[in-house]
Amino acid sequence: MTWAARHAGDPSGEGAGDEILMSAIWAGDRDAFAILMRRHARPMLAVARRISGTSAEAEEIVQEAFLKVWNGRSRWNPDSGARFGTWFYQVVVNLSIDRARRPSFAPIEAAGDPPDPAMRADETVQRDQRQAIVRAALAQLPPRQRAALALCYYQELSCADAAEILLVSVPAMESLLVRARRGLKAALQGMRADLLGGMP
Amino acid sequence: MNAIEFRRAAECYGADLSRWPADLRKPASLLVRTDAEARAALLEADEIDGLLDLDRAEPALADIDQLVRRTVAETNQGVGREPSAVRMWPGAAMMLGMAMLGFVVGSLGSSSGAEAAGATDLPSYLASHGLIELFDQ
Repeated sequence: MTWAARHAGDPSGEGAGDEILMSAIWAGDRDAFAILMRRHARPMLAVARRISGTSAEAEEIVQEAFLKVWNGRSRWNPDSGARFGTWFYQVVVNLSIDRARRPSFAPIEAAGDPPDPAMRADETVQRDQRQAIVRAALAQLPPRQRAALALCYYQELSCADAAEILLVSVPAMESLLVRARRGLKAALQGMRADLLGGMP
Repeated sequence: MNAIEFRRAAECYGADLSRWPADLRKPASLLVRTDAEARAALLEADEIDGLLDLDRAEPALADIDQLVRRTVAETNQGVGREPSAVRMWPGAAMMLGMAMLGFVVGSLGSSSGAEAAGATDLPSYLASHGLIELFDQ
């Protein structure tokens, strides 16, 4: 019997916690699996993209991570005390870091020059170009520094939560963040004014 | 909190004090009002935040729906992914074969000690019992 059939009062599963959904998934409920995916896919795709570098790779990573959940469902232990979200972030981040260590990023020069505001180019094109330059600069950072920024700055997790995901101490996490921000600053040295000057 | 500690925190957490750890927010906002160095550090952090914000694009909902559908379809196929006995049979069969061979050799050795004593090495012992053929095939 599927999730929707068993939970007439909450067919979308919005009110169910991850652990309840995992119990249903353990019993082979694909509806519950789909609900869990819809809940976590967006932040996981965002994190995976920021670490691995491309949306296509991020989709592969997140799909692989979800399939790990499905295929390993018989080993899920609801009494372990582990939060699904933290555990799943760990899976996605580790897969993303592994993927990011393969040399595939283009150098920052490939992103082109900063847009010239005097040219009055189309605003969307300028924004995309600025984004491409920042993305290329971020791609030059070591994967763990990218992971630190993805979790703390973009996903707005606390340093303690991010440290738990990356399996480091809070001071080590802070150090990763400081180095990441300094690295970005150095990579965009000389371009910062043009990049930020073009902000609407 | 002094200006050095403030700079370190700004380099870590950015310019938005509401995103700093709760215990640092109050001393930080006090220092910003009184210390020019702290204000300079905050401006620098704000610049980095601005750069980071240029890459704020989030995945589209359509991509998420597609991903969910594709992944559920993959679980329906279960191609080589289910932790089934079928996937593990080659290893299990090999282990079983080795165990059976060990049992046969052991039992022959113990039941006919004189015969085994005549066959001093394992290959010739196995050959004498026709067991070497198992490996030649």
